[in-house]
Amino acid sequence: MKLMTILFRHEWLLLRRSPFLMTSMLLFLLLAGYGIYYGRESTLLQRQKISVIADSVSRQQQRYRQTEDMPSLIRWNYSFVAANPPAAMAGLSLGQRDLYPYYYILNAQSLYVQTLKGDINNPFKLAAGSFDLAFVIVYLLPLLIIAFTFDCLSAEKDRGTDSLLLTQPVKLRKIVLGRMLFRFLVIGGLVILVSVTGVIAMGAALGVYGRHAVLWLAISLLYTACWYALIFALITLRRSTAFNAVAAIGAWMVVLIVIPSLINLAVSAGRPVAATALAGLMRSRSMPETDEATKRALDEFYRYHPELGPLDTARSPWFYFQGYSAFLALNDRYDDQQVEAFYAAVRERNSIVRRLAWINPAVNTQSLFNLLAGTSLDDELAFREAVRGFHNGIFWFSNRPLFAGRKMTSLDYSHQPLFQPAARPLAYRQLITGVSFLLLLTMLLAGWGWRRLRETAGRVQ
Amino acid sequence: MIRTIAKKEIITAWRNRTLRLLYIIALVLMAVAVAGEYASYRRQREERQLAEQEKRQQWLNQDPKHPHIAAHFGNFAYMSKSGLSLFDPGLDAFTGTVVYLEPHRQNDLSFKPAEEQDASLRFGQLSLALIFQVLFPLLIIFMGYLQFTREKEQHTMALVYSQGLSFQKWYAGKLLAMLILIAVLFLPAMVLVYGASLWSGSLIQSLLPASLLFLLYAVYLGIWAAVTLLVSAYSHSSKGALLLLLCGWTLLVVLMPKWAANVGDTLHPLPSKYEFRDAITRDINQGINGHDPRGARALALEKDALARYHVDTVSRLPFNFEGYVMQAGEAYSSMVYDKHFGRLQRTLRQQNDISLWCCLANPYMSIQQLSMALAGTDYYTHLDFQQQAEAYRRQFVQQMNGDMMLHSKAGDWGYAAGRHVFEQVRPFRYHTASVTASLKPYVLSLVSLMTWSLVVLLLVIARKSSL
Repeated sequence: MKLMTILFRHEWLLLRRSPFLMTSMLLFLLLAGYGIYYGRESTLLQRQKISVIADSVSRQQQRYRQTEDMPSLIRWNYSFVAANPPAAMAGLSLGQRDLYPYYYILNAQSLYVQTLKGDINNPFKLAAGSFDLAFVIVYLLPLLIIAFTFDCLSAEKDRGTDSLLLTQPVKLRKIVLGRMLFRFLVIGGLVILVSVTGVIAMGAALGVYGRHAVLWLAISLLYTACWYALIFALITLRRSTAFNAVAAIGAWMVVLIVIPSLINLAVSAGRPVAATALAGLMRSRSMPETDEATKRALDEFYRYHPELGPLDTARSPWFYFQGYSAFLALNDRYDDQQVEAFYAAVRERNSIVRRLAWINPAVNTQSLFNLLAGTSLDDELAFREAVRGFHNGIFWFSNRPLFAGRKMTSLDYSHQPLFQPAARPLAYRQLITGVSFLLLLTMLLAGWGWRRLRETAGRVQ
Repeated sequence: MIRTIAKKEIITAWRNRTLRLLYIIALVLMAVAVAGEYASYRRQREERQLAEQEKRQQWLNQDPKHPHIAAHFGNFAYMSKSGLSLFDPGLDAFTGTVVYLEPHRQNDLSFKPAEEQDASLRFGQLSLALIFQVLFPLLIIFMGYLQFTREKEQHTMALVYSQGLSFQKWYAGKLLAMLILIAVLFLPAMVLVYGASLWSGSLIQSLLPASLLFLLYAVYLGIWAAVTLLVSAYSHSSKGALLLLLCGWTLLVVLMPKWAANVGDTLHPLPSKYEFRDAITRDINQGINGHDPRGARALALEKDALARYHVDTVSRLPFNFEGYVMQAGEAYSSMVYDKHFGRLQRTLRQQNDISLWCCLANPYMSIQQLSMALAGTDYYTHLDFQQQAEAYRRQFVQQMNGDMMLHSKAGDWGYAAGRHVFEQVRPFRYHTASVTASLKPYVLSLVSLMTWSLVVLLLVIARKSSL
């Protein structure tokens, strides 16, 4: 115990007197602060825009409710909003959210004609990615860890004090471990500080998101431990300080750049998923305005919806309107199959990528962060699924009266569809798998380093 | 003398087992990068051609119908992948690949390949450009940081200077050695790229930009080598030199590019699609200046046409007045679109300008931008595609409205145009910008690379040959 106290005091002095380490720490804190600020601002902006749009659309609805009762017109003019506001912790890890529209304005027209037509983006910014807290932790934290630990053992050799150290009754292992522990505590403290600040800054209700916050903290610390174990294994090779620095940066580059970019290349070359095939769904298709075409569409439509079929052979005064709606519904039905097949391929490809990514602590941690923040691809797919359900409701909102041959009533309006965002409970299975891999890797590296340190303990190299 | 020094340094470097291993890894990575990018280039080209043909056939095989309704069926513009995208895929994953062209509205591009992937994509995709831009500088730092500090630490510096050798010559020898060592990796990459272009049949278009690309990369890597040696010369210890260089690398390659792009986004926020469309609709309905509502414009148009043809009702005009109104409406909405898209493009440029200015201090960002520009995968190529697609949209919609105006009567929506009318609409083709045009937005990046070279040269000249 006494040894630890001496060690810690000594380390504390060293840390305070090292302008390099102090600057690195300060820089890390500043960048984390910027990351939190950026994440908070961009989610606030999205929430604000959503509320402006929702307001404006609801005012439009109000106007139509008072002036229009023809379902055939309401079909195209009465719009709804399906919004995907950022979840409470989204600002900490913006993930894939910047790639997708976060709201859709929909009417009873074909769904994909309304949702596929692109959005306003800056591709340059998208390629650069978001400077959020997740970036600071996943990319920059390892660099700070490297700066703190790479000369933990070799510095003694540089100063020529290593043989002196070995003449002492204290085991070398204990000294190295004590040092690593001190530095781990310092960095761990920083990680806790920025994470807690981040969670508070996002304004997440801790009653609801407490679990998310704790998990975030645990994953950040585990990721820190993983890098510590890696550097620990590295320094037990007992090479020079310069070698350690070079090898550590090399490891950083392999983990954060080489392996992920290789996986991406392999996936994009080997498992293509072509969204371009869906482009045709944006095309406004028109039905020939002939009796024959209209009747054909209606006949097929009534096969799926026999309850709406006319009771007698008299032609409804809204025959053509009904025919066109039937035509749209049939189109959507066909399009849905195509889109579903596409999403299935996307899901399958991503499950492969995910499995490959588990062995990489950086990609793994980023995915876990996105999972907690609700900003992953799966979250987006769930939103789109919900949008599809909502659009179905929108279709029937005006088309049920249309097929019943009546005008819109106040009862219809009071029962108008409401967008139900997809309920996304925490994906515990994914979380547990990801965390297990992180833990396993940490233990393997630390165990290996520990063994090497024991084997080479008495040697002066 | 310089040659002797260079030879000695190359032999010393080559004896290092780690370096040899790194070379093998780098070569393998480069080969994998080219093979992978080539495969995805080929696949995407095929996919695009197939989709283009299919959409074209659908357009031609429409039932005979009213030309304006046919125009609403719409056409597509597919972004073609440039031949050099196999060297630098640039922003390809983040720009849409296809835009739907229809009357009355200008759509945004759809289907960014990045949308279909999860978090891992944001870590980048392996390519030769990534290897040259990011990995090579580190390799150079590893090779060069102790070139001079080692001489100090092993006390050979005094020995060398006592021979009457100047620092400049010594430096030149060491730099030459480094450049040759880099060239050993660089040349195979060049062969790979030229070979792949030849294979895919894009060699002729790619020859000039590819050669320029390699020249600029040679300058970029030369700057890293020169700076590394200089830092080594000015540093007191190897450790100090290494730390300084690694910190510099982190700052220039990891931090600054991301930070600049994000600051741009915060300072100049983009409008939401809803706000943007809303403003356009408002301008179309109330007039671009706010005092010229749609109805008044239509009345003025009618009066003007009647006066010009000296008739008293529109039915006596020698063309379908409805078609005329549609053409005028299309022209007006184009004007409104130009105003708003111009504004949007300004915002986007302001966002990206921050990165452009950062180039002055950062050779990494300079080469990144220049490389994308020459490979045809940068923001401005994407914008150029968007503009060409928009011009095509206006032209084909006008063509259909023109047919309606000349061949149908007002109120006669029964008029049907057939295949020969649809055939008159040429399929969309993207015309690649010339090399000078594609480099034009990046003059600052070029200036940056030149300034860096010059500053390094001056610092080398200024250094005295002493301990």
